[in-house]
Amino acid sequence: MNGLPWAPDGMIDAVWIISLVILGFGLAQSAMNLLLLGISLVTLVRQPPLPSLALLWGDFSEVAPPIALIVPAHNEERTIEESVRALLSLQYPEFEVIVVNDGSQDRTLERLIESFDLRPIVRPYDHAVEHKPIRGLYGASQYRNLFVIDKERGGKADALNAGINFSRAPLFCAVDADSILEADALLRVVFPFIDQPLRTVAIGGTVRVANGCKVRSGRVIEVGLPQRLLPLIQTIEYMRSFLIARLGRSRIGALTIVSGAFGLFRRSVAVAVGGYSHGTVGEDIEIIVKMHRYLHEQNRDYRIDFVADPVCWTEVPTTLGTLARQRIRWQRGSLETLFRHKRMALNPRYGRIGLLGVGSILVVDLLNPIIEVLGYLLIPLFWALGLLGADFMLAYLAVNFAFGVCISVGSLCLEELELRRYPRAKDLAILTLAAIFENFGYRQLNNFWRVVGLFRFIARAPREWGRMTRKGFKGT
Amino acid sequence: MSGLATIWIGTAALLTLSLATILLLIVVRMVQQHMSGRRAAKRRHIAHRLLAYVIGTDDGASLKGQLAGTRDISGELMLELVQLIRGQERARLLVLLTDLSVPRSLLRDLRRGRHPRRILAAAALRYFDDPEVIAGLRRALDDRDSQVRLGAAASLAELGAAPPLAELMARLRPDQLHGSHLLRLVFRRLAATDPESVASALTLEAPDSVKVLALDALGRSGNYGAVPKIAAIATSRASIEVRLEALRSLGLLRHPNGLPAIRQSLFEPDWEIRTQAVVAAGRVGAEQVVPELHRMLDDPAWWARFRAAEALLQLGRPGLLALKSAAAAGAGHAPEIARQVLAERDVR
Repeated sequence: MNGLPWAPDGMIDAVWIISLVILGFGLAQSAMNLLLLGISLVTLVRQPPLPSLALLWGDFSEVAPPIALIVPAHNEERTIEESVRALLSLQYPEFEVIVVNDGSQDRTLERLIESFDLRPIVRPYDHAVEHKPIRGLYGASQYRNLFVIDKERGGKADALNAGINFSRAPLFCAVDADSILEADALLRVVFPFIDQPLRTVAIGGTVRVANGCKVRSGRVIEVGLPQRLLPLIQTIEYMRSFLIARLGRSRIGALTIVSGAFGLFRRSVAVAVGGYSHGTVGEDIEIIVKMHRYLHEQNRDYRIDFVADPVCWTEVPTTLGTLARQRIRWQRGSLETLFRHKRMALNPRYGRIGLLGVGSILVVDLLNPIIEVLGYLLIPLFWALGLLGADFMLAYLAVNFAFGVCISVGSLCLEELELRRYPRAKDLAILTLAAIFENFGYRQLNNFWRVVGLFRFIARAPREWGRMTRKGFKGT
Repeated sequence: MSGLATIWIGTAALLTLSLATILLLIVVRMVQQHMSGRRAAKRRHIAHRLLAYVIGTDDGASLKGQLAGTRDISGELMLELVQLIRGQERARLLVLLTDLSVPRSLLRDLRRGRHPRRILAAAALRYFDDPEVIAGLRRALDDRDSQVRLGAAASLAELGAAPPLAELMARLRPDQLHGSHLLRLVFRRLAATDPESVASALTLEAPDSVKVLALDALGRSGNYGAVPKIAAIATSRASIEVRLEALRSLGLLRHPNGLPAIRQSLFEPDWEIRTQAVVAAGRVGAEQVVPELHRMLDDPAWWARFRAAEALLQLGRPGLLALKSAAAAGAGHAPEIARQVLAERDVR
């Protein structure tokens, strides 16, 4: 017998079970996030980033391996010149910039030719991985380390593969055309390859939100916060994602992604796994999982890691429509990777990457959004119908809202203790408010988009990148 | 207390703690922000005076007094400047740094500072050839952090004060270093000040990781006396990594005595060995390898073919003629790579 005469006992039991599953899932997620926060805190306290590389530049330069910066570009006419100039002025002893014009329909190629006085060249390259045909190769006499590949449209993965084939350096850095790398970003991101050259295979750096920053000649000259709410909230979201999730997961050997906007890879391993895969919108996550799988199956001792101090700035969506398309695409990319490599999920044969890495894609990307969205709908309904008590509702609100605030604020504390990119105390105060607001509406919307992404993946809907209207980086 | 109550009370406590922490950090930042504006202005002023002192337009009469009061800013600035200058200007600056007891501050940082400060201190102390500094750097060889140990070792090697190689390696704990390239810096510095000890690491008993380091250092040292030993290693049954490094060194040394070993390596089954041998052959620059490099244009490995074409271009007229004749030969790997490399270099 229960206190609700209209509700059969079976229904009460079902409600209770469903509610406990929803709450339990949320608790498990929260516990995992807290653990990752703790791990990240210990990591940053034990090995904080070097404030300046000025004293070590000479030593690092002597042993730093050459890097090929591969920059896929599709319809980037507005910003490509500025971006390339900024890349050419990075502080690094030996590197080449390979821009891959991936079938642009605007004047991206023409802009490059005009700006850098490019001429057609011949350059032999190893056809190691697959990509669409190349229409032309260009070089610049004034910039001996700048090359442009003009090819048929094949997508980002295809463009990166063309760059991998063309590059001669042992390492390549995949960079988005609209990314702004800090001047010493390459020196910082290459350090693990100097420190552990035999093991290191891929390293990711931090991506931060450029909206609101003052940018001149392709460099962030003054860090600032976005004026608009949506990119402001994404600032906190990126901070949490990189400083907690990626740093924490990399420490426990469960890092499944190196950001497509900024990551450094060993070319020979990328070639060994066949380069970036076609037919997925999540090529950045897929290549990392592929590398993990290959290296595990080869029984190699390896390292795929994240370091917090090298920074790349990027423009984030400012409208809900663009953001939604981006998040649906990301979700789809995760699921495509999960299903391509499903044998790794929760498989102890693949060690921590199988159990915690790919396993977490299953839990966090597949199951969690469904359960959270169900929770948003069902728990308030059950409570309103008197099927759940106030204690349960409070616990649910705590886990799904308040705990999220703790984690977001926690990431801000980490940022302030060890990294301090935001110059003003006022910025911290604004970001604190953003960290609170993020969990009331934005996070829920994100989960909803992830469920949409799941349905689109299941329905095999056509993949779309959509168009993000770039404002470009205007000078001061 | 029920489990549910524990959850929301616990979360509320965590939330309070996190918000209190960030609020405290904001207050601390507000205070520091107020002070940092003045620090930036001071730094600019000091930088200006230091540059004037270094180039001799400021006699430094009042400079020392000013710098003594701002040691944390001025010490950092001066160390950055020291790297950029040489000769008398550097000597003047080092005297000034010593007068301001900067080495002593660095030694304190090396003993007790946080991780970044210990690394920077270990690197910066290389400019001070002083018994106290050397003693401090030697103690740092036992630091718990590998980067600090390596930095101290590199500084000692540059000062010509590194302990014997066997002791140095034992204290650096190479098993924890994962083949760090920073260890190459240590060996390269050692090869400049004590080449005999580095050459001694090429003995059979030394582990491969040490041999690789020694080969790299000797290759860059210009020490032709090591060529026979290196050549013997290149064609021995050592591991591929060791043989690759030996070939690389022979290429860097460019001594004709290395050529027999390089030529023998052109026939190795491993493509990386063949490729490295090709590169070395090009660097040594002896025309007698032209026929072998011509043959390598048809190697199954793309990189071997490519490097062979590049190497032929380094061998003067005979190499160029061989490459051109390959380019004119019709279809196949050799003509294709020859044509492409000639086109890349715009050679007609």
